[in-house]
Amino acid sequence: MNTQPCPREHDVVLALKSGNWASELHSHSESCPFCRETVTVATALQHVPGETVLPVSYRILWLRAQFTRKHERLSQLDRITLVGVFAVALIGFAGVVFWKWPLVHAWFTNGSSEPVSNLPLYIAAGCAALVWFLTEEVLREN
Amino acid sequence: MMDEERFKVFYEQTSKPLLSYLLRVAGEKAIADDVFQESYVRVLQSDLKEPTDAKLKSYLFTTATNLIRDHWRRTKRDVQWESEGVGDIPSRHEERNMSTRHSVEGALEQLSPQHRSLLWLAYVEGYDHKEIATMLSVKEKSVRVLLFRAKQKLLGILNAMGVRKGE
Repeated sequence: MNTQPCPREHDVVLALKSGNWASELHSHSESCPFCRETVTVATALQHVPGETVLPVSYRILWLRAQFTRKHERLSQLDRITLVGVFAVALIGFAGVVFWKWPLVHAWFTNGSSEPVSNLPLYIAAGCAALVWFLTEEVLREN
Repeated sequence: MMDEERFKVFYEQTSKPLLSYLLRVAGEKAIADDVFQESYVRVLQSDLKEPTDAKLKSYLFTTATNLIRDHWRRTKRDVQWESEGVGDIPSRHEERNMSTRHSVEGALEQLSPQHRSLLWLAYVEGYDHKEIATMLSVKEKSVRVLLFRAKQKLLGILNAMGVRKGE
């Protein structure tokens, strides 16, 4: 099956679409079997009635695009804020660890320590875990 | 992002051709309308560098084609994008031109969405093989072969329906 198109096919389609035929191209379209078929198909398709009723006005689409753009910007801002909150929590946690380093060290080396003296550490760890849980979920949603 | 006045002009120039294309390819008006709207929103959000009207129109049709193909593949897994005879093409012009609808649109209904898309882009919108290849994400050589097959198939159906040149 020879599927090689006539090199002038595209010119023929454009002439048919615009109605501006060069006489030489018109003669070609009548003598070339490939272009004759193209003219038959293109004419049939171009005579299919066009649409007259649009589903929406340009203004609605314009506003929708603006809204989507603003929403995306806000989402980006949310992400930045959440990352900031997480960073602050992490730094806080590291600060508490540094501040209570003898306790942390003792806890890891001895395997136990007094519950009351460990309280700030547990609170900080709990806060960090909570912030992580919240931010991780929101980040995943975004 | 283009300004509102430019978008208005662009919409006036391209909306009816795009909707005609989508209705013939999608086979369902609701889907065509959704894809139509989403395509324009995406064009407005695109960051094309110094886009000419031709480039914007090409981007619009590419986006619409991708959206409709994705929708087809997502929702109609039992029927391939390349399958034939997959649905009616809606028309609001029945009272205006019954003979054309029954000949050409009836013939189009018997083709695959991919063939409808190729034929429309090539012979109604006037895109060349290279542009269509970019739009459909296939090789230029494949466009040539697919378009040839689609044209032969449509010609066969039109001939069987008794439609001659110029009708």
